[in-house]
Amino acid sequence: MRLELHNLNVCTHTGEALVKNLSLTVESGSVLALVGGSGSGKSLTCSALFDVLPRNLMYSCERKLNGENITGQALRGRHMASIMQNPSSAFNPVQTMMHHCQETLSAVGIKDQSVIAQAMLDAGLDDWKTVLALYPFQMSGGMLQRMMLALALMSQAPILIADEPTTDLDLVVQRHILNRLKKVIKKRQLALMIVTHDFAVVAQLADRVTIMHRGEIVENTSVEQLFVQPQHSVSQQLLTAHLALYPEETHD
Amino acid sequence: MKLTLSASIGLTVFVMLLIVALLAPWIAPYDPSAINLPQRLAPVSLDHWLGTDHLGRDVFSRLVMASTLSLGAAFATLVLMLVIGVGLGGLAGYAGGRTEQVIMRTCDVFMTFPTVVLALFMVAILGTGLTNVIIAIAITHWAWYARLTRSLVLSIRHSDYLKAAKLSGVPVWVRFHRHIMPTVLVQLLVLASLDIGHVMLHVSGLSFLGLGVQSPTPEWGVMINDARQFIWSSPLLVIWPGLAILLSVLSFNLMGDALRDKLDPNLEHEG
Amino acid sequence: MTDNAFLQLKHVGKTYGGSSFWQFKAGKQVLSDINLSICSQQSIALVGASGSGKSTLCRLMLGLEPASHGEIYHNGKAFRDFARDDWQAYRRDVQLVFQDSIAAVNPRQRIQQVLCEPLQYLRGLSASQCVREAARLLDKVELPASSLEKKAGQLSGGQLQRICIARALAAKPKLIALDESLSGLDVLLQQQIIALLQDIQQQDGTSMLLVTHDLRLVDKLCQQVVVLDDGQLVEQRPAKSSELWSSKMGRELSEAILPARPPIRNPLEQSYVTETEECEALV
Repeated sequence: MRLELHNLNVCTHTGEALVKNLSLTVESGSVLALVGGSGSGKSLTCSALFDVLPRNLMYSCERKLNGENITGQALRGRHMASIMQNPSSAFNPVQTMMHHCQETLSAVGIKDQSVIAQAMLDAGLDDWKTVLALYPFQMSGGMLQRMMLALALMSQAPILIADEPTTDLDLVVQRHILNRLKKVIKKRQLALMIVTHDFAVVAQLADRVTIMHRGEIVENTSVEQLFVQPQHSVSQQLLTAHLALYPEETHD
Repeated sequence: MKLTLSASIGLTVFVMLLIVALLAPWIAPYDPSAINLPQRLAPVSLDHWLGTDHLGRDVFSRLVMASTLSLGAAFATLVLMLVIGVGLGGLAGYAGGRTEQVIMRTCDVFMTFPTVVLALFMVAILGTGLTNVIIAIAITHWAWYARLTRSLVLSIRHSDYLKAAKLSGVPVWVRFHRHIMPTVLVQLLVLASLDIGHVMLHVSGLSFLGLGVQSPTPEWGVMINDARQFIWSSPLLVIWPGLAILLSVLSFNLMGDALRDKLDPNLEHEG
Repeated sequence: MTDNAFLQLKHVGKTYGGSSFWQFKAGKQVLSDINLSICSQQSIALVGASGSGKSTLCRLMLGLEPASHGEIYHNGKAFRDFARDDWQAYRRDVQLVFQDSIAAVNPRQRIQQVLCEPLQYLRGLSASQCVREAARLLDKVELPASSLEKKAGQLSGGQLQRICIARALAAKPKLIALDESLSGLDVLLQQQIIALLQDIQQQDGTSMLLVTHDLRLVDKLCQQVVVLDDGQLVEQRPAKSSELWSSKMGRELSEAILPARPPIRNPLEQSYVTETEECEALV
């Protein structure tokens, strides 16, 4: 399973280019990290993949699934599932988790209810029977994020796009979620593209890293190569800032 | 300032009505109460642009003089409703606790009164007159504004920037009128401009029923009531004041829509 | 710790909900029996997972909400006994930078008005003095003076974060509390803000109260660490200590820190990725 995005260009109505000529590839069993500072255009890239950009932006691109052209709409749900940044706003506050699961399953046309239990266990929700009866306000941020992962998994989509999935969570929960993601990707051989600005997440999860700056790709390399020898000045800047947080690094 | 077609129409009509209402004594060609029986029920002519009514009074003059009363009463009612509603609603939203509970339950009680019944009640006690009609309408409608104001104030009261103002040593009243009221008032203005047509209909409606202004004072509702008996012979007598009410309410609604379109998206962009 | 420590908390607890005029029900206890002394010369970090009560404790210390139990003392005087003047004096000593800088500034106000509020009400400056001082504050947080005329809605998150810090500095406080203000910032901005805060600590002698769940930030700015778990204070220790954490939450938080670099991989297990992506010119 291989998803390719070619020549993505996003601009505003006034002609200001927000993303320029961006191309990337996501493959089964591997993780691509899309990294950049605020305003680099990484979230826009995600939205463009799904074809859910705001109306006031214009864009053009080519999407290929296993070599064949495909629209964003056709990708949604069936081939590509998403995990968003703010879990508390991603759920309908007046519906239980069971309702959300059924909505997801009927959207992709899956009748088999047993996928729900398996997806929730894979996402780390061991007491899934209790969780299914809960409303969003009864669940913590970490639980909601796990639920979002479960919903993404139960749709059986082979490609997962995660847009800053752990930014709003505390570090303890973040570690659990990332471990879960790692296990699930290996087990189900999913393709994951994770958008983040946190290099620690990149180090732990990613196989390849694409660094964006002002709408363009400035570096595209394997994660080991990036940490050993970042080529572009932006990558070097970001990496230095990240390593400065760790005391043992300052002795280098 | 770019305006849509409907907004332009609304604004133009509104401005025209305002001018007519303010300059009525100078615009009206005849004395509105001058009875001229030989000329009764005259058709449209160059002398009497809209004809005369059953007592020979010039309809155009009466219509023009009535605009002052009708529009004035509508605005007065609106102002009264806003003052009571915003005052109490703002207090409820800001103070919270028991004050809020008491005010909100009072709102609930007042919202159950039907306007016409209350107006009848007031007329029975205090007599007829435009003032009583205004009071009756204000009493039954202030509660909606109070509720809206309270929820707007509540939504802002918990925002971080208000807490930051408290930490900056800003006193309570200054916080209220500098940080809370501007946003609240803008939203209320939009609602009020949409509501004024409704209020106008109430005023005219109650006068039509004979509870407000009494004949011979010219008021659009009263004029319709007077012309009822002649509806088959001289239907225009009913239509002219009806058209006046229609035009006013329409222009208020169009302006209200335009105001909302103009102000709400701005609020979203600024947030 | 003496009785006249700068800020002292004794048996402080906070319960939300509970009985009201209309109903009788049990409340939710967010904080219980917190005892803490803070000196104005030391920066202190308040750490814990989400829901541990650290943000609530921060708000109580700032006087934004009253404590349900116990008492907080400033220079020996209890909050309960504060008159309006005492609160003004307290606000001059202790300020807060909120987590979400975009929500912390009124979008309709110009930056000048935002900064003039504490200058006018806490330091009693006149209008012209306010303008000069506001420009000086902007300079201190490395923003151009032209920002004074802009409305809050026109600035980016990073710029607003600096404005919030400038506003906190306006009162010339002894202690600035940062309620998760560094969370969620991208790594470059975080580095810049940390450098700015370190500057402020050194030049003005202002201490910081850092509320966070990220232990990596703690020894950059603070000398002491206090750990909260489920509303209770479970550990207090120096920030740069190399000893093991004695509390469960402390251990969890330190284990939660992801390593800085990727793990060494067995080349046989490495996933096979083709190199068909277009690369921008590698400098």
